Amino acid sequence: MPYKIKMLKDKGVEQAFQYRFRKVGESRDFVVYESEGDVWISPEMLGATTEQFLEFYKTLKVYGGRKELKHGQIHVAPARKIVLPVRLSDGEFALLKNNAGDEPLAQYARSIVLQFLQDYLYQKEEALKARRLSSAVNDLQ
Amino acid sequence: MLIKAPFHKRFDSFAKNYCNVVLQAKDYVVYEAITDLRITAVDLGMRPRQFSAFCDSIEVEGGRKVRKGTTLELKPYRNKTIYIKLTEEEYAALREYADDQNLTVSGAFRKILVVSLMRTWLNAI
Repeated sequence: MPYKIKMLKDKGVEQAFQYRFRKVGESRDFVVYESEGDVWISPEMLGATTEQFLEFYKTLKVYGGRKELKHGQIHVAPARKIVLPVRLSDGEFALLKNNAGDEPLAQYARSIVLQFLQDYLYQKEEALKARRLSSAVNDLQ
Repeated sequence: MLIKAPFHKRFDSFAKNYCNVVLQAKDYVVYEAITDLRITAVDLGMRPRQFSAFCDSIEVEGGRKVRKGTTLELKPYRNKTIYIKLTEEEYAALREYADDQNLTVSGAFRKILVVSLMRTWLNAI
């Protein structure tokens, strides 16, 4: 689901965002963008000082998503509305805890699974393309 | 989950791939398993009746054993629950994988996670 970001108009920002977001609205002072995935915005990207960057963060509004300051950058992401319960045995839980270290367990588990899904869906797409190609070649023959 | 089983060469070599040996007595071995185990009569080179008798002699603590025909599953109790927040896009991707594998969405998440955890555990030991 795409989410919307409303922010103060700024030429530098506009330049930095032109490939990351799709512009869907504009007024005299504000501009509204639309995006689907996670986006990280650094002070360098905006050419802003720390104070200007924090001011920019305050004026930034996200609809259908969320914003947070993390590692000195602004992280904008779509809302995670679906909650999935996963049951584990004591041994599996202990292993997860051990592997995650300082990272929150759910975040660590999420990153493992999403990484796997990314690879899986990419390979599935590639296999589908290859099948289409080979059937096209067969048709030609 | 603790598994107490009479010593059987094939079962022992299978179990040692996924479990720690806790106790080795003259007639039986106690293994400690982290996750689900699945073994068939063919894996053990047993006839169905032999397999059935072998399954009956296995004792499980902290989990349960389920025999369906010539397949035995040893499953530790799932006492812990973690809650994962997903976006609709991530959920759709997970559901696609779950449908491909004939699993529930939660089961698919569990499978991916546990396989990854077990891989790191097996590499470590």
